[in-house]
Amino acid sequence: MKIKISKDFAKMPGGRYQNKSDKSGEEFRKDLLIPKYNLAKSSKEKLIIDLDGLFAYPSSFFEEAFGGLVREFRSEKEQLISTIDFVCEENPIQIDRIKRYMNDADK
Amino acid sequence: MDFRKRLNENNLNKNILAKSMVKRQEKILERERFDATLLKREIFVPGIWDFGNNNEATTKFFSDIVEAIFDSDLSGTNLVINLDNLNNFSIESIVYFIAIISLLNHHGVMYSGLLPNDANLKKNLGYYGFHNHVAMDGKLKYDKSILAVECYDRTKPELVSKIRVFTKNNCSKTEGSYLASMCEMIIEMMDNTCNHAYDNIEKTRTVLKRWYICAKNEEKCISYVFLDTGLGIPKTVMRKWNEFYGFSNSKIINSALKGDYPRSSTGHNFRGKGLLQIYSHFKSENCIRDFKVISGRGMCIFNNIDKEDADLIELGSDIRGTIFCWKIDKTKVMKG
Repeated sequence: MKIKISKDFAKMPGGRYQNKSDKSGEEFRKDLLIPKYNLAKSSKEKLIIDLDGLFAYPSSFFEEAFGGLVREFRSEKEQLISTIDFVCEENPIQIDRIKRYMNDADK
Repeated sequence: MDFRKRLNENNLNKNILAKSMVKRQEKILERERFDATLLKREIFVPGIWDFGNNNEATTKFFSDIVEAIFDSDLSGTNLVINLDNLNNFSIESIVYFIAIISLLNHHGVMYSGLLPNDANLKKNLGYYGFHNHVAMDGKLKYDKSILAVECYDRTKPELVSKIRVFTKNNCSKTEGSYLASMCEMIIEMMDNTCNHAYDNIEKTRTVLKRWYICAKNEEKCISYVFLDTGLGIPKTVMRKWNEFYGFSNSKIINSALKGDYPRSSTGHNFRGKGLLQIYSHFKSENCIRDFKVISGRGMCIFNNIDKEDADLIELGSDIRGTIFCWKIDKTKVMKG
């Protein structure tokens, strides 16, 4: 199972909250990430997040999307982290950044 | 005796009459003086309209206009904003002026104005969207080297895409990490403004929660200005962290950009890192230069070689909100 953000959501992601930003991290999490994560979990598949093709990697967008996912599924953090994998050939450093948001999300 | 008594009484009456006439005249004069200040207050633009090169006069000009909005003693004043003397302006001055005029409109302050004498200057103002935002005549003049002022009240990634295309096209269509860094910087500015800049700013009036952006292509660089008219960094920081009491405004801005405060304003570790992100992008890209932040009474102008170092300047008057300025040096843009 895969989400390519640049194709399935936006090439230029926005800010943190839906009520204050177009193409926000909250919108992405609610409309795409959570439904796909639930599907992946129930079918015991990996969910691949493809970050290639994006024009920018705004921290508030990614923190709210992926950090927010951890906060929402706090009790299954380990399972969540092991279910989601990232691909980013254009800018691999972004993967570590997003993983850090996920690890620090509930601190 | 009677005569003398009557004479004394007459003199007394005359004195009372004279005194009351003087009092009456004084009252009329006082009223006239009051009416004159109440009905018309003329504010003149400085010849050099630039926060960097003429900070005293430029900040005074803006704070005088803002005073007319928020000082209740000046309510009902008709402002006359006179741009007649204008010789030279910086981009941030014109964008900030457009933002302040939007505030005047929002708060229903009566104002009129005079455009600069110089026809070339008048035309140049038009390219920034001046007539569209200020004169409201809807005639947007167009110059391909200028991305005219746009304003919104939410984060707008589509506009960031437009700025990306403008930047790339003016940097010989060079793709590179500088484009992503610049876009991330702008998105953080927009989001930071929408989430923090107008927190608890006015309890009694509606607030115009907007940000403004503009860009200009020049021979060797592209200049950008992003600003808001919110509470400003020093006041926001001081409200939340009293450790900063006693610091100058420029020092607070410098510390806030470097993330020197103890925790997020929201109480969560994952929040409140917007200013630090903005500054990090300036630091990480060699071609992003001349980074300047003006807010409250402080101005930080960052060094292009040692990007940790900044000139900390205190302004003559308070500036409402925050102004970010930076440039992309086209000669230092790297591919890849």
